[in-house]
Amino acid sequence: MRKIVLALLIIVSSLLICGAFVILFKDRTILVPPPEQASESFFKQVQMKRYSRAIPLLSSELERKVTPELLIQLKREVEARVGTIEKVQGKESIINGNSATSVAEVQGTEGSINISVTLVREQGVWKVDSVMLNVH
Amino acid sequence: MDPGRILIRCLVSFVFLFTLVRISGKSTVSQGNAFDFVLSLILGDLVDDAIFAEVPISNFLMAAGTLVIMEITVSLLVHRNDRWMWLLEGKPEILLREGNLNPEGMKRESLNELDVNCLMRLGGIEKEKWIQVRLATIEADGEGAILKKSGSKSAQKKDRKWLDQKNA
Repeated sequence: MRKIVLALLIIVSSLLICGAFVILFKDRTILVPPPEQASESFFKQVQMKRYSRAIPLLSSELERKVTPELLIQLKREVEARVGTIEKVQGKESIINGNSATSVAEVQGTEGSINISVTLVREQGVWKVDSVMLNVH
Repeated sequence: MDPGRILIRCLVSFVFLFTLVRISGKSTVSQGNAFDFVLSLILGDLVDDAIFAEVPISNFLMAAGTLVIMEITVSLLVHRNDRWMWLLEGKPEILLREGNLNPEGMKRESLNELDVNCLMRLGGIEKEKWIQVRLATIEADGEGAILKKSGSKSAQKKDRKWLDQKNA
């Protein structure tokens, strides 16, 4: 029983330390996935047709509006430009308080495209708020 | 991705897991059962997600912590009651009794004669000497255990001489 209490103490204290680090040092990129990682994760889920996993990566406002059909359409639009998606990579991001802009580079069989993504911070986690396709 | 961020995430993950594994007891690493093996695979995947920032570190702490607490709970239950041990860790299965294969035990463990032969060889017993074995089991942790008949011992030099004389 003592071991369980000790383990609980370690978990709680670790969470408190991490929480304090995030709040005191205004951490937006170290102990939480940085914006470029959030946008990369979103497009990777879309690439793998895991739409139900992609939707929770959207901001709460967008999450209400977006359906899997819309994500299928987004995937088709991207693939119309680059061919079959082979690789997704989150690139540089600019953080401004609780919002950020990031670029996700999508490489396909017929070329690549840079997708501008704006993100907002909700409950400490970066969420995709809008997506804009740019021709590379 | 910024190497500095990866370094910090590695340190946090390492310190957290190291501390938890230390208090969970040595069995997690040295006498692991099937559950411990699965647990270590899951923990490895969780660490991977945390290091490469696919999830917030708080998610990792919660998920890994919960799994280790479950593991400690199972260990405590097993420690306190033999019935729990049989239920949660499994029981030793007899593969060989008095030199003869035990087909029921082999079937339950999905082992064939070649597997038993391999297990016995690892224990230093060739097929010709199975008759010396009183009991061979596969333990809950997957290790083999061989109990020889009393009086039986490994072949000595004089046995070789005796065998040569007999064959001459």
